[in-house]
Amino acid sequence: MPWKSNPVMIFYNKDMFAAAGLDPENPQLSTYDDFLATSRTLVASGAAPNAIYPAPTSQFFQSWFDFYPLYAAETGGTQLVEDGEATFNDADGAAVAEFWKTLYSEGLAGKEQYQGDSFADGQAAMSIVGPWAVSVYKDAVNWGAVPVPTSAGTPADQTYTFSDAKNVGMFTACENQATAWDVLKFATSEEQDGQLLELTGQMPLRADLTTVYPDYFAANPAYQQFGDQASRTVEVPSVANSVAVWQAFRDAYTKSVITGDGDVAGSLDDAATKVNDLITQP
Amino acid sequence: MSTLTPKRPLAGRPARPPGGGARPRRPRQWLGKNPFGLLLSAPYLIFVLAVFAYPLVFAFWMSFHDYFFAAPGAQVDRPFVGLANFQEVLSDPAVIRSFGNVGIFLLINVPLTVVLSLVLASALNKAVRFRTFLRVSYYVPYVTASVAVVGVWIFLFSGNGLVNQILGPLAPDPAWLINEQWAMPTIAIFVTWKGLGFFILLYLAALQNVSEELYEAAATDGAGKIRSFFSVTVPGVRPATVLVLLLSTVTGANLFTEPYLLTGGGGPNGASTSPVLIMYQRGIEQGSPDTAAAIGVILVIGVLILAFIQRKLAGGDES
Repeated sequence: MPWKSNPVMIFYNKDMFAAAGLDPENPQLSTYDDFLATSRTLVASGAAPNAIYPAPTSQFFQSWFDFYPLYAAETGGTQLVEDGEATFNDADGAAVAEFWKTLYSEGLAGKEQYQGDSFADGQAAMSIVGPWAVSVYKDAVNWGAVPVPTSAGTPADQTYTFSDAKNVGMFTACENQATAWDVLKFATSEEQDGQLLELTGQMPLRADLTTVYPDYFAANPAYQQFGDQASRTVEVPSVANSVAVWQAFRDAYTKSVITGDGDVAGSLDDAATKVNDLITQP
Repeated sequence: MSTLTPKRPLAGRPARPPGGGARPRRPRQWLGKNPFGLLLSAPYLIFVLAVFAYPLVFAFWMSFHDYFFAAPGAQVDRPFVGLANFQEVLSDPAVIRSFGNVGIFLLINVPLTVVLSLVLASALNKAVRFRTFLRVSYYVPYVTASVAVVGVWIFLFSGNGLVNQILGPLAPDPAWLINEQWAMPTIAIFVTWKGLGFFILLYLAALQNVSEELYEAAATDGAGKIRSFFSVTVPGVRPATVLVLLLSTVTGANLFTEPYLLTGGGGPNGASTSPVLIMYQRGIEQGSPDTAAAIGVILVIGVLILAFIQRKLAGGDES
């Protein structure tokens, strides 16, 4: 049962953009070419040690915050696996991977694990984050938010992203299913969802979020973008061995994209073969 | 059990139920000489049974079954699958690589631990000034949580960290922890440094048993400091060496925290994965406790074989 989502966007540090001589109110970040040009300026000018700094480590879930949001945007809402088959070893997947590979190979994104929050610590001018970041960076960074880039520069109101959603499940072995169902219904009611939004800034998963809670979005304009983004999101695929699937993908990604070892398209093909095998296993 | 061993002296205390029967000593016989001792050791015994013995047997059972996690109260079938889990694990290149990695780790870590802790313990034994200070400073890393120290090491060994700044042009590229050749050796050195305090302590205790007369005799025979170290100290602490070898191998084979934190999940590209890290990924993250248990069983057997070889080679007849 759907519960909440944290649609991710690109946060950028306005002060660093200004220091690099870029327009902080109108950042050029919508196409890959623009994004790379902006990144090069940020680093070359010395305004930021890194343009962006997603965790370059091997944990299975890290791809949710580098590859996957951009893949969702590039494909207009395709999951990693659809209809029992891996989707990412196509031209779109290769374009996203090549984009990240360029950032890494040109030294615009850090390849080493950073201990702490690179965006808050001024180690990176941009970050891929969900709405929880609004309250976290409120006083720490003078930030702005834009949707993730695509190769062609999709308009903001059509750009998809990763939902980072959390759902609730009930076991069939549950002894008091009716009671549990009542608890679930109560916890996700309009009123309680409003409380979740109010207290945490995380987006409850429901249709037309911005019109159900107009007061909240009027009072917190910073969340408006995220509330709007919440209607165009992609989940992680619900398949067998899904963690193993993501680990297989991550292993291929760290090797060919972050380390830059081997051919990107070939390594995505190899990962797709593994993923297709994993999802058919019990 | 019912036969009385004449060697065993009677306990001082009278038997609790003064039954006056023909065999009042029988319960005492079963409980041993000092029943109170059993009571004192019971908490640890329970701990060992619950935390080591039961999980080990359970893991062994798991590795031969199609085991998976299920909701509490759910009735599920977990059939016997023979060696299927072992087959799956042994044909997985990631698992094989993790065993290779931990092999590299042990090859660096164990000899380094034995040599450094013995040398430092002998030096410490002779040191007159700052003795307590030195002891404490060797011991502090051991008692500090790995999680806390890892941050410092990332700082030291990062691309523009202290170590690379000192090395200048000699620094490896990519930096230590993201370099496929250097990641595992860096971890091995980290673990050696961290565990050294404990092993120095073992050697310090052993050194107290090496008779001073032996050193005097060696000096009379014209042996210098180095000669007497090799001819008196090294043989004198041989039982401790066997223990240090064994313990450093066992703790080394269970490597987890460092690849998990220091290299962000066995990076770069699996160059620092360890069998226990793979067990965590397979068993906990990916929900295949059966294959994880198979890795565990292989690891236990491997460590037992290593320990047996070490005992044969280093232990001699003494232990």
